[in-house]
This record gives sequence, structure tokens and C-alpha cells, in this order.
Amino acid sequence: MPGFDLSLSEKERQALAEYVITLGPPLPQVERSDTIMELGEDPVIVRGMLPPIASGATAHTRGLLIGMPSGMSFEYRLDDVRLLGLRQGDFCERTDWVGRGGTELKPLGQVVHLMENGDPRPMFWRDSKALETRMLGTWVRGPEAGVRYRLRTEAGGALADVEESVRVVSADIVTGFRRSLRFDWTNTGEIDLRVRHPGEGRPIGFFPTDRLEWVILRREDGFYECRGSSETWKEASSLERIELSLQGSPGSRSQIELITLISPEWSQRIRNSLSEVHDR
Amino acid sequence: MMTHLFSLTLALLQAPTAEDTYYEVDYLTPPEGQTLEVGGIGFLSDGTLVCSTRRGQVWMVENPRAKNPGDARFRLFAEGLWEGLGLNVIDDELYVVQRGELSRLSDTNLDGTCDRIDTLSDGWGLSGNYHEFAYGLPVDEAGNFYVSLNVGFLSPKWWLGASNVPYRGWTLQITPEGEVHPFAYGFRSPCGISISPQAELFVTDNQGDWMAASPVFHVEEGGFYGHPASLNWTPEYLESRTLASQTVPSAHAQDGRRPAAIWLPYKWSRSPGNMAWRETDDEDDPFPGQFFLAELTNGMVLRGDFERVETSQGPSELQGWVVPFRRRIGSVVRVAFPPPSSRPNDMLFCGLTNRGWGGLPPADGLARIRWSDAKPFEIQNIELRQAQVSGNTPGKHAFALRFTKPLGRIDRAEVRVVQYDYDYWWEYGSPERETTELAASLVEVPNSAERALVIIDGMEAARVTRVLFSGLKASDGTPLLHSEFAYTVNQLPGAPPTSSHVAKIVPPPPARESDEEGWLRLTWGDATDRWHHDGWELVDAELDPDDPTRLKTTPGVNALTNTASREPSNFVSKPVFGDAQVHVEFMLPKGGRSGVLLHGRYEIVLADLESSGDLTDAHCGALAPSAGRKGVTPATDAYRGPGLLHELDLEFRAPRFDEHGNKTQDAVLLRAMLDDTLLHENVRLIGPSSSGRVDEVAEGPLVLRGDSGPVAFGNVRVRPIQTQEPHSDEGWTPIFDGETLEGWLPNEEGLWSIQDGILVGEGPRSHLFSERNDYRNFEVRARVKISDGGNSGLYVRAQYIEAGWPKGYEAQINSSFADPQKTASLYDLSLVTTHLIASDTWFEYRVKCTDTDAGTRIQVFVNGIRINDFVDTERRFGEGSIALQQHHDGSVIEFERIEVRDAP
Repeated sequence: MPGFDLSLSEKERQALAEYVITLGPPLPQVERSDTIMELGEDPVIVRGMLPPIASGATAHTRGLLIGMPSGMSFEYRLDDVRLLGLRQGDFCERTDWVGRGGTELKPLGQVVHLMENGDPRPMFWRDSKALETRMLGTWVRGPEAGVRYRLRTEAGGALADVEESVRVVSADIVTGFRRSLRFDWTNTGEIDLRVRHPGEGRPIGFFPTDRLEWVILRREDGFYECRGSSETWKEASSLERIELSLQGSPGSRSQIELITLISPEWSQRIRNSLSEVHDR
Repeated sequence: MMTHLFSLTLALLQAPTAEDTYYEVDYLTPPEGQTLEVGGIGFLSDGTLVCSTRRGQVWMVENPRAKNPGDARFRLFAEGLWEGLGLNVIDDELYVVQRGELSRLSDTNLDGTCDRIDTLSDGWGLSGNYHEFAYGLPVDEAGNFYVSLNVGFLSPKWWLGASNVPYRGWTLQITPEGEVHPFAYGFRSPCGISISPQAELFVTDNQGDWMAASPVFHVEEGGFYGHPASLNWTPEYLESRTLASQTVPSAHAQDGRRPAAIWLPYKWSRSPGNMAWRETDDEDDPFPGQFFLAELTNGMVLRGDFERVETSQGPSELQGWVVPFRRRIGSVVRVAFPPPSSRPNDMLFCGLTNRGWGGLPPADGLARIRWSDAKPFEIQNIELRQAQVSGNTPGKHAFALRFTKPLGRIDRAEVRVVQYDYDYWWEYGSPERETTELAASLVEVPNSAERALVIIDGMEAARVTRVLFSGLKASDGTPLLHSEFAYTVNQLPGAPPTSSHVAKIVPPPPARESDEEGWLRLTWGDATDRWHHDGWELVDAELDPDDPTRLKTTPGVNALTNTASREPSNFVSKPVFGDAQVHVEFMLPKGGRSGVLLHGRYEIVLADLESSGDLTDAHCGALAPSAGRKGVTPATDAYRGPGLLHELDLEFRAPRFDEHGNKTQDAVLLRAMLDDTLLHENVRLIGPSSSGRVDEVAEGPLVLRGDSGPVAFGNVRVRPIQTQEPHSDEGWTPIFDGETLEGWLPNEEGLWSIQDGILVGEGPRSHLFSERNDYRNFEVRARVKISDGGNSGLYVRAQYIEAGWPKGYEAQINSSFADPQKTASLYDLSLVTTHLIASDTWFEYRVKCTDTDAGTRIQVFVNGIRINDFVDTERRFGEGSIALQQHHDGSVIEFERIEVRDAP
């Protein structure tokens, strides 16, 4: 007969809905506090399924979070080992510790930086072809943590094993993050790579310091992204071409640093600070 | 409130049993606040136990064999993994299979915690379905790892297995370099994967679709083991772009399906885990070389062994036997012996977890089973042979048994042998089928006091043979500790090999939804609405840890108990039935006694009695004695113990009477099953049980006894047999032609359509009125189906209205809409608050409306059973139309075969 929308108030309908929920099978008795992972003095790496990091992005059945003691966490998808973005705040909730499990990790921090809207394209290229990246593992050393992966050609040939570490960095009033990439080149011959370091916004210029070379991007939200590299930028005329080249010799090792700082302004003070980027 | 499940956290006091004398159980104590849901166990060379957990942790447990379990020391080695349902230790390096990868865990700076995880392989798919667990982690002599992968569970049934990404339903071989080789396929939920000391790979699977019960497979490369979802990833299916059928057995099932080496009886195992082998050179060890198998739901460990029998064409594949070893441990999913070098090797470690499924408490942690110095009287070993008692005995076979102690007088013992097989189909599991009792005798073996033969006549291949002893004692008077074993006879020695399977291909049920069709769920929703009762309450129940002879109740909705008063009554159904199937779930405390009385007269005993192998008519599942006659003992002891949920399924044929009320045929218990184990078949019930009413009737209530001590029930349902009432006869006239809406008048904006002969109502509120509007004393009936969340009604004496809710008597149709008035309610006049019918399920609905001296009488029948009988003394509505309701957008109502007839 009459539907409840005609006879009950919103509050009453909510109460009724809650009552109806109680009619179902009992829910597992797990306190939410039992499923929260918190950060301590050392980095923590957690594997699991990731929900979309942003609207329009996709979920990832294999993913991980690297939580730093500073409260910053780095979110990676693992099928092709790509950094999706950074979060700040509480670490994560293990929703899969409830019921039968198998559910997504629930990152608790606020997204403070997205890599290409949360759906980053390949980072490593050779001969205009994207290289495959295959997960090799994770590591924690003191305050540092990161992932390891293998760069492969489309045919599956290994070119280099890369150890990537991530850190939160700051320079005066601006903060950001650093990705250190160490390449152990295989013995397959001389290798010439392009490494994309895409950012959001329009490049407005280069700015070299003693140790790093910076490209400055103006974002649509008015903020500035300062993108530093230990190598020389190859070209930065457009968003697509913010990249550097890297050569590898058989059996040798190379290292590069890629730094991203977010600044509300582009001023002399910020310029000066770029010479003194330090870990947090 | 709903009572279809008991609490998933049934606490069970570890009450002393005979097993305690020989196999003591204790529990290591994890750090306070830590929950160890153990998924893998291994040992370092220094004896440290390592375990991985479902919470993605790895713990080191030093001194795990400490005399005082509290002296074991736990240390967290790693966290943040995505589950750890398999672990191995190779040269003191740790390997864990996570949901998404096989990993090596290292402590490179030797600070005692993991700081490096190497991904050896992630070469399998994850679709995101929760059920895609990965298990492990045995390693062969070449260093290859073996991982088994669950299928996903997808609609329309929670248990319907699907393989939407590689290699769900497969066992993978992964080389030390991380290369993945799809090794074998056809698995469903292969939670246990183990390698024997003889380098044989075994996988245990869990009962469900295409898995008749829980099997133990001897897995060989390229083998197909029965579940078709995995076929999607075979070259044959990939090349032809074919997806495996979810309902039709594949060609692989007919030709090439590999048999289970052992089918675990359902009463012993519902969720098997891994296996561990007793490797010892101790000559006094009673069970050298045998396997010990983890069982989660029943919280026990099973023991057994394999053999190859010599057929007329050579040795068979492995087949074997199983017996209970130790019950009442907790939800055991992993078992592991310390390395053989450990001395004394007197301990089996058990890893526990049951989260999400339920099982015997404790639900998590680490248990230890310790061999005591006392020697048990057990079946030590079993071999199947051609019988050779006095020369060769054609047609007979024998189990050659060896016991752990010299036998006493076996002429005082009895042996009972039953064979059965299973259905292989998409339905969830299979009952034991074609159960046959075989003539058997127990015979001494000359000059061997520990040996005996069970000579069996008529044993068949492709069947499971279950052997039960009673009265068998050792020469020192010790009774046999475990008196029953099950041997999976894939092949018979001396006979030509058969290609037949224990799980045989049979025609499946016609449709997936049919398993709900016809049932009346008498305790769903409002659990007491359809019952007469006093002293019963709806609660959560578990064994009282302080007094296991009692039930401890807490607020909840999962169990009906008779604990609300000191002198509770029986629980008596208001509806009465004739021929019917009955399903009841129950739990007893220690020493508990109850019963289920069909028609309130024929009692099936529910009892927690310690079984010494001699079953009586007082044991659980027996037919209770009737006046002057003994009861009927159950075929087997399928009862598993106090505090455990049991499922009782009965099929009953009511007595028949002539027109004078004289009985012409006795009632018959067509079938009785306890947890899918057959107890009775075709037992004539000459008269009521002593506990029941004296007279016999064609229709009677279902009675659950509450007068003999505490008991808990749940999910009580009845399926009347022959509910498919004959149509177009006995004066019935169709008023819906199955093709048009001729004779019907819709109002408002509802969407009424005819689809495949079915009248479907969708869209916003609308009513469909019969154009004829002078129905008064008559019956109307139809087959009806309402969607989940849907709401509808069948009106009689309705008055046409352009918009709004019509006036008239409305027989409500509502399975899961939030309105508490459910199907069979007479709206706002006589309520039914039990959720009798599942949504999306066809049922027979009949409404009878007649003027009587007392008022207007409206009777509502569901599946042929009268549920509502109301007399409207105010005679609210006179003659009118029949009307069908479409309640709201989102609801879908379907009617079929709408018919009417006059009623006097």
C-alpha cells in the first residue's frame, strides 16, 4: 500500500533503513581502529588493491603505498610500476581485514599531487617506444624506501634494473618530493633513454642551479611547479616534451634525481631556495 | 529479524574428550592486541617458527616448542603484504605467496625485520574479485614453487566460480627465476597445496559448484580436475575464443577429468587446508609417513594415506583413506610439523583462521597438538585388496587393517560398510548418492594380533566406501579411538580399470533459481511470527564457556533458542503440511537433547551423545522409539559435536486416509540427511513417536522440541511436495490469456507488458483491474514472482480507481521491500511478517474469498499451504474486481497463469 516516502519522514526512513540492515547476516566484529595502519618512525610499504586516486582515474588491482614518517605517502600502481600521486595525512585503512577480505586499500591521506591526473603515461622511452616496466620489489633503508623495477623492450629484453627511492623534500617555504633513480645497466650495449618527467602546466622557463637544472611550470590553478633534474633537460617546449636523455653503458650504473616542488609564487626568494633543497 | 545463519563466532569450550588423553592441544599466545590469522607456516633451521597471516604480516616465533606455550616469543618480521596464504623457508630465506605475487623477504641489515621484498613472480591475474585468493607454497626438489589460485565468485550466486583473468582455477609452477608455467587446472578454491616426501603434489579443494564435496587431488602436470571455469585459459579455449560453460559439463569433464585421490566426507571436512606428512624414523611412531590434513570449518585435523592398487592392467592412480585424528582444535587451515631433525618430534603446529566463513573457535592463532606418552588404540594403516581368506574369493574385497595395539576379541565387534558416490554438476556440492549397504565381516589375521581384515561383498569402483566399527576394543580393553574411516575406491584391485568417477555427470537442476523455489522460509525475517511458542527468543548463541552444557546467549538475530524461560514449550509451526521436505539447522550444548517432529508426531532425535561407535536410537539422527517399538538408529554417526551448526534435511510422505478417516498407508520418512550424510532412506513410520501426539493426520505442524534442555535452531524451512497444483481443472478458468491484456484495465502510468506469456508490471505505481467487477465468493490463483526490493499485491473485491491505492482486500506480495508486511499478509488487516518467499523466486499464490455468517473470510495460500485465514467481521468490501499492483518504480512483478473459480 502507501510507499514509505508518503508516510515517513526522512529521519524515520533512515531509521527504517538501518533497521532493515540489521535484518541481514551479521557483520564481522572488527573495530575500525583495528584496520587502520599508522605511520611510525620508519617508512612502511603496504601492498593491496587501490581505488581510483582521482575522479576519472581507474582502480588498480595491484598497487602499493609507501608511507613516510612525515605523513606523506606515495601511491604506485604495480602492473607497470608507475607513481600515481602523493597523499598527506593519515596512512591507510585495511578494509580487507574485515569479512572475507580481498577488498581495496583505503588510503586516508588527502591527495596533494597527481601524476598526470592520476593516470600517468609511461616514463621511459627508447626509439619513440615506451619501455615496459616490470616490478622487481620494494625496499626500506633507514628513512628511505622505494621500489625496484626492470626496464624491458617490447620484445622483453632487459635494459636496466632501476631502484627508485622517494623522499619528501623542501626548500625554504616550498615543499615537494624527490625521486632518485639508480640505473644498473645490462650488458646489452649502449643505451639511450628518454625519461619523461611530465608536469602540470605551461613551461615558463629554465633555471639552473649548481647541482640541478630546473624547469618552471605555471599551472592552471595559479601554482608553480619547479621541476628539477640532475641531468640536463632535453627539451621543455611543451608539456609532452619535458624529458631528459640518459645514456647507459654495459654493466655500468647511473643515477638521476627528479624533484618536484610546488610553490604559490615564482619569486627571487623561491629561486634562491632552489639551491638548497633538502630532505624532510 | 533474520535467523538464516548462526553466529559466525560460535565459541566452543575445549571440553575434554578421549582424544585429549593421546593428543593434547594448547595454544601459543600472540602479543596482546595482535590477531594472527595464519595462512602459512614454516621453520628456520634454528627451530624458529615463521608464519604469514591474512593481515599481511610475517611473525617469527622463537621457542615454539616450549613446554609452557606462554614461553614462546613472537616478533613481527614484516607487515604490509597483501595476504600471506602460503609460506616456505628455503635455506633460511623466506618466501611468501601474496594475493598478487610470489615474494622473497629479506633482512639485509640483520636488524631482525624485513627490509627488502623481491617480487619473484606476479604472473597471474587479479580482476578485483574478493575471492581470488592465492595459496602456497610447496617447493619441489628442483626449487620450483607451486601456487594454487581460486576462481572468483560472481553472480548470480555467491558461490558461482568464474575465471575472468589468468589463471584463476589453476595450479602454477614457478621456477626459481620466476618463470610461470601453468601446471594443472580445474580447481575451485584450492586452499591446500602440498608436496609429499615422495615428491607428489597434492591439492585440496573446497566443496561448491562442480566440487561434490571436498577432494584431495594428486596433481600432475596438464591434469584437469573438474571445475570448468579454468578452461578459459587453455590453448584450446583461447584459440577458439570460447568461454567455459557455467552449466554444461565440458568435454574435458567426460574425457580427461582426473579423479580425486580422496573425497573427504562432508561431516568431517567442509573447508580443507593443507597437508603435512609425518616424517620420522622412530620405529614406535604410530603413523609414520602418513598425512595430516587441516580442516577449517569443523576445526579438526584428519589423518590418512594413499596407495596404488594393482588392477588387472597395472597399478592405479593414487587413492586413499582418511580418518579423524584430532577434533576441537579451532579453525585449522594450515598444519606443519617441525623439521624432522627436531627432537623429540612430537608436535604438530596448526595455523588458525576462519574470518569471513566461520568455523570452530578459536578463529585465529597458533595451536599445537602434542603426542602424549599414552598409546592410542587407532587404525594405523589401511590397504585395499582382493579378498583371500581361504583361497581366492571372487567378487570380494578386503580392507587389510593394522591397528596400533593388539586386538581384543573381534567376534564381539560389528562392522558396517556403506558405499556412495556423488553428482558432478554446477550446483553447490552434492549429497551422498546411491548409498548402498554392503555385507561385510571382520576377520582375524592369523599370527598377527594387530591386524584384521574387513571382507566386503559387492564393493564397486568409483565409489566411496565408509566403514564403521562398533564394539571393537584392544586386548587391553581400550576402545577404538576413531571407529570410522572412508576409503575412496577409484579402482578395485584385480579388476579392469574403470573410467567412471566417484563424482558422476548427472543432469543438473533446471535453473539456478530453482533451489529456492517451493520453499517456505519459516524463520526468516520475523522468526517467531509463524509459530506457537513460549520461552523462545531470537538471539546469538554459543556454548557457555563456563558450563558447556548450557547455551550462552547475547543480543542478536542468528539463533532461536528456548532459553527465555525455565520451562519452555515446543516450537510449533502455525502452518500445517502434508508431504514435505524440511530443512532445519540446529546446535546443541554438551549433553543436549532435542528433536524435530514431523506432523508433531514422528521424531528425529537431536542429541549430543558421546559416541563410542555403538549407535542407538538415542543418538543424533535416530528415529525416536514409538509406543511398543524401538526406534531406528541412523546409518552413520554424522553428528559432529556440541556448539557446532548442523543441517538436518528430511523428506516426508504423510500417511494416507480413506474418506472415512481410516489410515490406508503409513507415513514414510523418504530420506533423512545430516550435513548431507544419509541417515535414513524409505523408513516406514508405523506410528507416532512416544514424544508425539497419539493420533495421525494428513496434515500436521512442524514441531521443534524445546522441552528437553537448551537448543538453538535456525533457517527452518519447509517445501510442500506436490505444490504444483493442477491448472485448468477443477473449475479453474484462466483470466489472462498470456498474449494480450484483454479483460484488464490499467490505471495511472504503469508499464504492464507481456513477455513470453508472463504478465510483467514495471515503472511507476499502477494497478491492473479485471474488467469483470462482480467477483464475490471465489478463488483466484497465479504463479507470482517479485523482484528484490519489489512490492506488489493481489487484490480481491477491489474497486477501480483512476489513481492512488485501491480499496479492496489486498494479499500482499513483498519479499524484501522495507515494508514489514510481507507476502501472505492481508494488508493492514492480518499481517505476516516472516519472509516466507525469497525474492526473484516463483511461487504459487492463491486467495479465497467467501461470505460467511461471521463475516467475509479471506484465506491466503502460499505454495499450497494456508498461511493467512482472516474473517472481516466488518465486511469492508462487497463484490469487486481482481487487481494486480505495481507498487513503485524499480519494482518488477510477474504473474503467470492467473485463474479463478467459484467458491461456495
